[in-house]
Amino acid sequence: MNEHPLLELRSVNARLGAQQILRDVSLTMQRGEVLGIVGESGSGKTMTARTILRALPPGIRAEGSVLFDGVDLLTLSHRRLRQVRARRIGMIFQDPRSHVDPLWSIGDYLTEGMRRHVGLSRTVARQRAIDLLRRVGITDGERRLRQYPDELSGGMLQRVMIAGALAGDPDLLIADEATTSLDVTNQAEVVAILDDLRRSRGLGIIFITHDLALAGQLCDRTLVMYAGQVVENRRSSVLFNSPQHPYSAALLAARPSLQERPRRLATIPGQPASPLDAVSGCPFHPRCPYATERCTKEIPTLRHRDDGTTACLRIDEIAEQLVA
Amino acid sequence: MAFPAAAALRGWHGRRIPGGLPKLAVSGIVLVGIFVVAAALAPLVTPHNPNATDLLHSYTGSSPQHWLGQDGSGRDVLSRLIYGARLSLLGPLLVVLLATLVGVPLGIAAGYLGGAVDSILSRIFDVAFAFPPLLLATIIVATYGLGFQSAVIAVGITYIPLLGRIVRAGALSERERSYIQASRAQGYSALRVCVRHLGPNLSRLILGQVALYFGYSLLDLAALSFLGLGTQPPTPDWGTMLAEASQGIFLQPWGVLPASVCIVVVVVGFNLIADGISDRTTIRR
Amino acid sequence: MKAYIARRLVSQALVLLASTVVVFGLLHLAPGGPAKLLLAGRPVTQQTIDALNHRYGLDRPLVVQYFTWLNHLVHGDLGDSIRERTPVAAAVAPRIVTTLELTGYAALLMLVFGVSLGVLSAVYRSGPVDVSATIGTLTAASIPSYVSGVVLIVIFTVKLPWFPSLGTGHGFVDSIDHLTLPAIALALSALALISRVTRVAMIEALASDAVQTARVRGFTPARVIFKHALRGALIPVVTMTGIVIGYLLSGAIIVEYVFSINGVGLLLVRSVQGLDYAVVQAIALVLTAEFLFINLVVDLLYAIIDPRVRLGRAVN
Repeated sequence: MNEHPLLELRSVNARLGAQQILRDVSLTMQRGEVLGIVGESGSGKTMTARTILRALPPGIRAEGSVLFDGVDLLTLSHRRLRQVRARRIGMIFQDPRSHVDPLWSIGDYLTEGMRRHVGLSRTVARQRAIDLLRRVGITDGERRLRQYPDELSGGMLQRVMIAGALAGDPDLLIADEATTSLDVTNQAEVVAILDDLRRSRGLGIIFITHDLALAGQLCDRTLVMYAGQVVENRRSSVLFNSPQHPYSAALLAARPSLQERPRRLATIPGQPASPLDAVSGCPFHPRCPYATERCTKEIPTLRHRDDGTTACLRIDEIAEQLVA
Repeated sequence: MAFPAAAALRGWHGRRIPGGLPKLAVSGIVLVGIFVVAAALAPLVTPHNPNATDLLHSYTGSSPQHWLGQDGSGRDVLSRLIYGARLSLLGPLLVVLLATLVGVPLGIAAGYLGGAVDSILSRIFDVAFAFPPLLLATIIVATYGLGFQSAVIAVGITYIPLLGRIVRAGALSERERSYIQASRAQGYSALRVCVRHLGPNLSRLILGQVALYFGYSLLDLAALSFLGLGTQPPTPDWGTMLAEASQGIFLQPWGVLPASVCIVVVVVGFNLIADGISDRTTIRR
Repeated sequence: MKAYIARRLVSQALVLLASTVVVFGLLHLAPGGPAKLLLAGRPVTQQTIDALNHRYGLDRPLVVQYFTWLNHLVHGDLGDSIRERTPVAAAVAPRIVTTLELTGYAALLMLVFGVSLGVLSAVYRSGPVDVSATIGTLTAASIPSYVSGVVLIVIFTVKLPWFPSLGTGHGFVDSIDHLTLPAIALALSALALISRVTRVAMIEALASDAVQTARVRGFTPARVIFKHALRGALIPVVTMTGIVIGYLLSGAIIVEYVFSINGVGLLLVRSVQGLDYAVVQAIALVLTAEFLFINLVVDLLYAIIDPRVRLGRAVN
């Protein structure tokens, strides 16, 4: 049995020149686990995902350790990194139309990896591709292989992208806002596919989204990020009932509920902070209803609390007030 | 042959002088300006009579009296160059005028009026584009006789559909804009709207294109002269000078340089100006 | 796909037809009338006038004349050259091959070096290759083919006897030897343009989401560049090639003249100078047909590279 967790980030920092993009991001993930990363735009969730695969935009430097099955991806040679990308980790993105090359047929898109990396013959690869398509809910694979992205709907193309990411039989799948541009029906289907993959193949999934409810549905654990930092990391069921950070609580409170009808939608005052804004102390303090003077001076670090971690200086005092 | 020039320069933006004009465009203006001034002041500036032959000294190199040497008929190259600038610079101006005066109204008519007018004009443009450009100019010259005038008209005709198409595209997109619709709604005739509103708003687009055409047409006209189809010898112009020099290429190899350098320098100058204009128009928008 | 090709074919055929009307019409718009143009300085006897009338039907209605002329054309009869006193077709036919050789050679140089330079500039952006390529292409783009041709002759034929200067050469190797300098002169400015277009297109392709996906899927850098990025970048390059071919054909006229290459272009210039109008007409048609054909091939290439075109959707 493997002692290593599937993925472990230790104090990952990312910088663009002098600007801090990610600050001290740490997380651990086991095989077959679904980890949600939730946050507003600019919170650093996509950047974290990109750092894992070392697919950062030019100019951004990452430090710390990204241990995938015990091996630090940040120090790996390019050749070995490519192998990891090809066979061990898969990634899917938000907009399938711009990520799936319109000039390639679906068949070529799916089989390219199998033929280059695994050495399968054309026939065998195509058969595998058809199987993969079936797994993601596309039944007439034979016909689809000959089609081009332009001929498929957005929802279907997203599933093709998932199939493509699974082609190398990875242990970890990173889904970066994979359902954001889909309509509700397609969204539900994609979530169901991901859930099924986790159960049947023990696939570990990182599910990045700004939709808290969605994360709650699918993910075992949820990580909340704000301004490039992790502010809370907890089992989803626990997080949703008793959040342990003012930001998480505020996100939960801001969800419109179908049951009750409050007179006004609760919002979080102010704009989401990006790590590019220079704020002293806790990055959330300008918008936090519980902020004190201490919060403006000290940067909170992640502390263990209740089977999870929290980055709030005052959490011990305010915990009961945060219960949803 | 000619078009590659400015299109290739497109991506290169020079630094800006505060006050708006990019540095490169200014150098372009300076370059062209020198030639324009020299051409205008030709009688005052040239050391010798450009047509005075001296057959004993044909294809001679540089000397104190003839800074750029003497051509195949012993004529002073420098003087011919300066006089040649007149025709070589006048030609493009005329071509551009022709293209603008005919091409712009046609383009606006096609774009704004649409329907049958557009269909007909677009077809005409399409057919004009079926001919490789120099070929079209050549057969027009063949039909109407050789010489500077013919060449100017011929080359001008090849530029009309070029400008026409672009203006048409501009008119098509501007036509839907609210200020045009409002104008029409107020009851102004199509002609008035086009002249007073559409035209001026397309002027930046037109200007950007036209600036390019100076350089291109200079190359095209010089090509025709070089082939003996445009300006006829012994009249000096850079194309005919190049033709003459290339005939003496074994006696005086570097004799091809003066006209060549002039052509290239002025074209680069025009292209820099064109680049500067397009820079300004894109920034404004 | 077939429907697309058929449509393009019909479209080009119509344009070709229209251009024959133009060529025909031009003759009749000549000052002094077609007869004057065709005779152009030859002694005017009743015999010659009758011969002209017979051949061109100059006293019949215009439309009839056109179809007569077209009829002759389709049967390979392009009239007679006054200068050479031979049928035009016989004079033109062998020279077409020479011109095609020259243009083809130039196109090859232009594409091979232009695209390579563009790719290198994009991949090693802002590096020494990119900077020198930028300067080089900007200069080359302002130099017309007659200037570069003449200068090349001076440098590589007169000063350094590396290449034969004039003429076409016999046999394959000798032909290439003779055609190299002209092809370079012809290709130079086009190469500059192709290189810049490729560079811009590659930079965009390399930054695209689809290419990033390819990287994330673990393909080697070489594969990402050539199989993924380049394919997308080729679309604007193909567009530009279609435009540039016209200039290659035009430029061939000049280059043939400069290097005394016995192709259709040289014949055209001599015929215009010598007022041999029938030949001028014939060559105009030949070159136009060539141009339209090449455009058709370019359209075909589009359809092969970009499946969206085949499916009838708008590109981009």
